[in-house]
Amino acid sequence: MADVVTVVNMIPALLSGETNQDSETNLAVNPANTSQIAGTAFTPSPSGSSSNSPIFWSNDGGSTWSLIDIIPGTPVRDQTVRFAATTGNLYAGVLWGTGGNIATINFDILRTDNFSGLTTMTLLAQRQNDDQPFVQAMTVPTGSDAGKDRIYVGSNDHAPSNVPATIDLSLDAAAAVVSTGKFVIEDRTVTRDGFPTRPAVHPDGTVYAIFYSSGTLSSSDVVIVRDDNWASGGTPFQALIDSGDGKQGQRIAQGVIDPYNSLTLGQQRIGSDLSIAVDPNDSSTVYVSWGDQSGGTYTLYVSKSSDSGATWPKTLRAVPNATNPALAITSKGRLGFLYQQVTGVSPNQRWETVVEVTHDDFASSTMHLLADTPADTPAASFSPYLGDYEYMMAVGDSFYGIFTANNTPDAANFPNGVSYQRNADFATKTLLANDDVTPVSVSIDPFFFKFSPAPGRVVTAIANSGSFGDVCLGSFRDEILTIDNGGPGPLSITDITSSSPDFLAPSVLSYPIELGPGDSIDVVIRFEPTSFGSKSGTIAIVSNDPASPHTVKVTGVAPAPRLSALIADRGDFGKVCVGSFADEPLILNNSSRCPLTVSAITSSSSEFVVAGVHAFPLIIAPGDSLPVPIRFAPTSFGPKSATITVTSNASSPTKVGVKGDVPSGRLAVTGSLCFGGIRACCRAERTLSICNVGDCPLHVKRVAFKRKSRYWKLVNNPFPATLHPGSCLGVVVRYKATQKCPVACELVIESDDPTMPVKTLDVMAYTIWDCGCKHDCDCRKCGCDKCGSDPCCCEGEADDCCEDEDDRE
Amino acid sequence: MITEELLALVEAAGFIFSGSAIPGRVAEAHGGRENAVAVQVHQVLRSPDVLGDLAGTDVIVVSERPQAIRDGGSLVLFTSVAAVGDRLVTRELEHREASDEGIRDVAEAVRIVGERPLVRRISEAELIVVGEVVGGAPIERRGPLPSEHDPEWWIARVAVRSVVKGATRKRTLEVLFAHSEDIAWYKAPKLHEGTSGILLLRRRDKDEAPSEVAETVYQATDPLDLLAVQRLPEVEVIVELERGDG
Repeated sequence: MADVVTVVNMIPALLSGETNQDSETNLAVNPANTSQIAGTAFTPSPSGSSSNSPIFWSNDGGSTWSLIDIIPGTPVRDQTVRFAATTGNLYAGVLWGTGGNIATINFDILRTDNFSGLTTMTLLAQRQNDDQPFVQAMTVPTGSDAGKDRIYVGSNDHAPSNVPATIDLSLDAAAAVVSTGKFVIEDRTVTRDGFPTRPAVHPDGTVYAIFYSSGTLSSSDVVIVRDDNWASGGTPFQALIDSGDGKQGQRIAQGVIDPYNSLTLGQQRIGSDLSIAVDPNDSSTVYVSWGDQSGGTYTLYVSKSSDSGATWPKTLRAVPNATNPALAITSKGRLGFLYQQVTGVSPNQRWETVVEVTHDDFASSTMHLLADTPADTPAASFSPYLGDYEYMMAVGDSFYGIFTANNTPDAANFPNGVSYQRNADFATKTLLANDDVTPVSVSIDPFFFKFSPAPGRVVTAIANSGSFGDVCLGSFRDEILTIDNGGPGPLSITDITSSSPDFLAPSVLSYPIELGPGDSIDVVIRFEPTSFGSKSGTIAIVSNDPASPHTVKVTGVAPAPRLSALIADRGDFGKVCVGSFADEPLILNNSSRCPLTVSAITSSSSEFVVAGVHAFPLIIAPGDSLPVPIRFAPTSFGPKSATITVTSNASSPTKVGVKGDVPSGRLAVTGSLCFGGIRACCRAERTLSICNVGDCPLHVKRVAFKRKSRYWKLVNNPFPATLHPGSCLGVVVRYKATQKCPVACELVIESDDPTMPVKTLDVMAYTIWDCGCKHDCDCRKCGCDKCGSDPCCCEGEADDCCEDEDDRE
Repeated sequence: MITEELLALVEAAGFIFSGSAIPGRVAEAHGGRENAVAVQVHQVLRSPDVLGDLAGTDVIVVSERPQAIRDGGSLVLFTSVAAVGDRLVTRELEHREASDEGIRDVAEAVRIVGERPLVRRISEAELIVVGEVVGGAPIERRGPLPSEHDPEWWIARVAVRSVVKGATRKRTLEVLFAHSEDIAWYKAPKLHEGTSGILLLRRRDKDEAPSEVAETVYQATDPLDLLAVQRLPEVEVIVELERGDG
């Protein structure tokens, strides 16, 4: 797996002029916030008269560093720092003071969560007579003590004569008042124990510690002890009993030659190297590294136990002429092994600072050369030249570490690259002072490094550049978005989101989605528009790609339906008579690509009737037409008009104007009603034609004399009647000539002709009283051949009359 | 005027300078604290050599009386360094008006304070000689180094050329020194054969030296216990002053 390697020279810019030998480094990364990192080295306080000592501090993940004066004591000798797991507390184990009597040198256990530089660390415990305090810290993750910080400080206690390995611990180091306990972990009869005692803590409460147990000065054992419950008991670290001698602590390696500073590699004293790492996923898996000169060449060894330290089957790795081992295991099970190896022959020796990373116990490994620097320059100011230890730890799947090296700004010395804050000219390979002009002598500087798994890289592909085309409202279209890991490392996708409600991101059961290098996955993006119009959105893919989030633009259109309405003759229904009707179809055409939904069709006039619809909406498919009958059924005469409104999901209601004309019948009367003189007692008839000369039926409601009369009569009056256009009906008007005196009479014709609803006709007739019949009726006198029943009238000419109208009435 | 108070202040303050607050400038460093003031340095009066000349640069001063600094115009600020990164963050101990006389007094106090360790060391020395190391040998150790910080005691034989302070009839003195190049001891004088200079000697510290070392042996473990012979006039003046005070 490729890693991204970062190496940073930790000297701040304002200390560009410093030439100190900043050796013996230690590092602490805050697991709860990996942007916070603390480092230590033999770096004096930047404040000349300070009674404090500094640590290196970064709050940007190690990219830049400052010195903050927070260790309350000076001068500092050995110092180590460690963050607890979750509380943000930084703990330190520090030796400080002057003089040659170790009994007067202070061994302080310190704590802080304030990194402003304005507040010194809080003293938790202090004693003297100790060497190489090495702190580890953990926060209890679960149980009744969850949240408590626990610290374990390994050291070499000079108070007892056998200078045993010792653990100082606190089970509640974050408390306001902290109590500590001190436990000797050397159970064997020894001349002394080696300088280093190194603890390791697992979150499940397993605590290990390793040390050199020197039965004689020329033969030491590397011993590991273990406690399974936070070393909280009265006699902790009893969990491992050596299978050979039955003593506390399993001997990992026996007969080891610990040089005790009698050996020098390059300019570096060698005085017992130890490191331990516990697998964060399995506390029974533990790795140890130690140094041994028993083979002649001083060599670092690495071994592993898979049964909580009980057995150590074999050596996994051996590196000759190396020192300062540091082991760490990541959450993904990668083992890192940091060391510094001297190569070549003096005066051309070089220090190679190496991290080996393996996933299979060194069956295969990747070797990263962090620094390849001259071993003979600069000349040592003091021992240790590089330091009695350096450090590396793991957080997640990343390694963080610190080492010291010759600080010549030469890119060739740092094969994985390096960045400097202090003024440095890589072209001339010269350090420069604060003025950026004055050359500064080469010295030993602390370097921070970080290995992070190379992240994956999101590469996406989607058809048609993310254009979904036209999608109707209420419908959807899916497109496949292919997500490919184009990077060298694993890609972890933690979210896929959409910026628009019209574009739906896929439902993922659970994140993260893990893709190996070169792998890909198809996810469905759905365009389901919620309103008409052009739509756009952004699909965001959140992942461990440094360029995250990766965005993909998507577009689509939800076209609005279009209604076209057609009706013959521009909606003119023409002439339609009252009581009649005319139908015309209103053609509704969907001229768009999406279904047209008609929700209502209304008319503004009751004379233009829209066909009844059982239930709306009406759906008209794209390109289809729907004829809707419109009926013009006038109820009165005259020109008519209305508006038919079609409401649909088209952009606006469609309005269609309709009109029609409603003509009436028209009365025309032909025939004369002037009878003239009619011989008395005779009858005369005239026929009047009442006609309809209009376009529509004429309803003649009444034809009658205005006043009743004996003399006038309508014979077989057919009215009331309806005259169809062009038709006539005759009405016979009879006059009986018996009037003594002529009286005018009017015939009234009532119809629904709107222009002439009442027509009055005068009827004219008079009785001819000739032949003396006026008083004596002798029809022969009137010229009749025979008298009728009425002697005044000829047979057949008259009926019984000769009555005076007045008499009758 | 140089007072003891001023001397104590100078001794406590590792970074002393004259400067004035930068108007309208928010001290965004250090979390934008309200008690942080951005100050432009006019003149550095005392500073660790490694910082070089910071005149003209801006520093952040954290003070319990920030408004007094903002309103105070040109001041002499007595501070200790809290953080060094891309800029300097200091903690104010005290500030005074930056008058010419005041600055001269501070400069003189800095000089006096700078000499104090040597004055103190000379004062504590029982015997000061000019001599040359003519031989030496390690003290035999039983067992391995107790720790990597062990001084690795040696006893040097020093031929006395002259006596500057105290009295001795011996022509050769035995002087205990730390041979170790460990971080704890590398600055201590290394009295290897051929080394010469001014030696500030005390009787061996019985709490520090191995018990087998005789009480007649002197000890030179402080970096100031061995001075270049060129500094003899300086030492003689201090001795004379001490003698006059005594």
